[in-house]
Amino acid sequence: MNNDLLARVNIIFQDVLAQPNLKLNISDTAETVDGWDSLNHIYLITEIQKEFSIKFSIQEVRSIDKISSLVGLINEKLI
Amino acid sequence: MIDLSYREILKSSFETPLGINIENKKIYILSDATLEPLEPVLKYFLMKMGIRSTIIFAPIDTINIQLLDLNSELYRSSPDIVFIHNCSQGLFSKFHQVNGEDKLSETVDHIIEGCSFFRERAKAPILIGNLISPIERIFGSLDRGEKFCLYHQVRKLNDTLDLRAKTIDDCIIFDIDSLANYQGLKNVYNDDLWSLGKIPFNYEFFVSVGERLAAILRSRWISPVKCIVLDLDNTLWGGVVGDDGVEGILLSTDGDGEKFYRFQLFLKSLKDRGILLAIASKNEKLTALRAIQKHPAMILNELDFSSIKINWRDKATNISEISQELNIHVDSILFIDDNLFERDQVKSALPSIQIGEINPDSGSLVEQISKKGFFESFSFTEQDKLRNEQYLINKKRRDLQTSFKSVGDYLKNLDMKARVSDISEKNIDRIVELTNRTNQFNLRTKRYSRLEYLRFVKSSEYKCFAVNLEDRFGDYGLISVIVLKIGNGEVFIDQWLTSCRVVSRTLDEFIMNYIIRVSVKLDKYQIVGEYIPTSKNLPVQNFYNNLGFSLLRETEGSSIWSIEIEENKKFKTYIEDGKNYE
Repeated sequence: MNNDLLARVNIIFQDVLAQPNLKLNISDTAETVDGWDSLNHIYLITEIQKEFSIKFSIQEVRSIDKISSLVGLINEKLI
Repeated sequence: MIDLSYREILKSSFETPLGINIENKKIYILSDATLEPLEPVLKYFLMKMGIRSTIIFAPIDTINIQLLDLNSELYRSSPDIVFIHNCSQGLFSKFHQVNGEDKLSETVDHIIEGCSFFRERAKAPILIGNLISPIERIFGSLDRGEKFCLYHQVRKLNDTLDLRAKTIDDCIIFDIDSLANYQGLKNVYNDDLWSLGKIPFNYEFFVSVGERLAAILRSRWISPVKCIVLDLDNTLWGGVVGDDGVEGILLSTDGDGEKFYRFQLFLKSLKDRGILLAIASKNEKLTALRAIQKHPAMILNELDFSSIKINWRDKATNISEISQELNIHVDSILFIDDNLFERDQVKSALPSIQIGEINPDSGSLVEQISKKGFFESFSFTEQDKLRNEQYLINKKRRDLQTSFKSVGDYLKNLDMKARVSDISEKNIDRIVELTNRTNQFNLRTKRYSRLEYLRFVKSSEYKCFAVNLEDRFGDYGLISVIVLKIGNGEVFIDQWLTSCRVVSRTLDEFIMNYIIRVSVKLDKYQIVGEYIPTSKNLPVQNFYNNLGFSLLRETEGSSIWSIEIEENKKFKTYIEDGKNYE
């Protein structure tokens, strides 16, 4: 399940960061992903909410800084 | 016709199209919100038009700090354009904290004060984004008219901005409000983005803003649209006149033909404001002309078109001919056609042309063209309106020309009179306009601003003048601008530009005679001119050579020419002097 989510998140990261070859790892963080800065973060989250038809609170958006917590939160919202 | 999404633009690779390549333009953006998401879309749309850009964002909410400080990064980076954006959200909180009826007037004062200060000291033109209407209503319909309501005051603020921006040289309003209304305010505002990062609107709205901003900048840096070349079948009317007959085409004040009728009304308005119309259509000429002449619901008639090409040749060839006939560069032409094949053929043969895509099956034709911002322009003068008339008169001149054996006879018969005048408040608007618009007959392509010209006028180091021309067919108005820099031993021609409508009329010789008179009066007997090549001023490549100057030195980006004169030196001209000099 989480692998499927990660794959969908990966496509969004590739598009938004204009890195078609980007391969996200569950252990990745804002530090390890090139271009994942605070400005891109907001757009990444906007697209992720659209993709999964979910909604994060502002607090949640601000707290996400790792792929693992991002995927975990998406999973939570989908249940 | 699918509009691109923000994500698709981020994803796309930025490739420069073939054809036009404008050097790197620096755009400086000042905003009281986070406008950075504009960067990729603006770059994308500019690149599609062949303009490379660097976009610099000032730190958020430092608009007047930058504008009023000569040492700020804004001044130091010497941008090519400044875009000032005030977001509505910032204003709303201000509104609710202040008492009184006119709570927002101070905001306008600040914007205008900062912009005037900058414009008096720097070269770059300014675009001021107006305020997007708020959604809040404390009545409903009454908010519009009640003075203490936010909606009323924002509307008033925008009206005041329109008026006051006009008092600043080279400063125009970018009407973001009407863009937002077109997209629908509920698709523009996004409270989450605002709370998260002071991002003032939805990402998709950044696409609209970027596309429109690029259109405005194109009109400034490449050219505004001066002529629309139109297809006929499924563009000016529905159906194919060759198959359906004049009676069978869709064109009517009601029903299925109404969209074409409305499109013609729209084109008529564009024509009335000075944009030329022309036709490039693959049809039997007589049949198509019969539709134009005889169809009862036709709004445009034959005389509304400055050039009509109805034949079976490829459209790029026809458009090139129209371009030559009307003396309008291809990059100032908008070609509108419903057929993808024709659009692609024209675009690949003439890459700098603008293409208007229409699809008669998907709603309003007026909307499909209007929303693209093709007709954006940095300035508008009364002279623009007269353009159609001018070209009609030109046609008469051409007809006369063919009846003479020699060019000299023809020119003599034109009864041309030129009038030389000083640069002053009276003619400065037209001079600045001509300076910005003239690409071909422009020797150094120095885009001097109003203030720079007025500074030259005041300085004893410079002599400036403008030339008006008229002939028996009509008045061309102000068509040439000259700036002379007086050196120790020589007179340097700092600016010489002439409207392309009056070439080959011996005007250059007339002006040269005037320059000689000015020089002799100042006791200078050497005149020096420079030619700086651009992609568009090839027609004046040999200008000084033709006038008998000799080449002093030449580098890649410039050639310097010089001529020794004597008091009685006179060039042959067919233009009479229309007025005594002051």
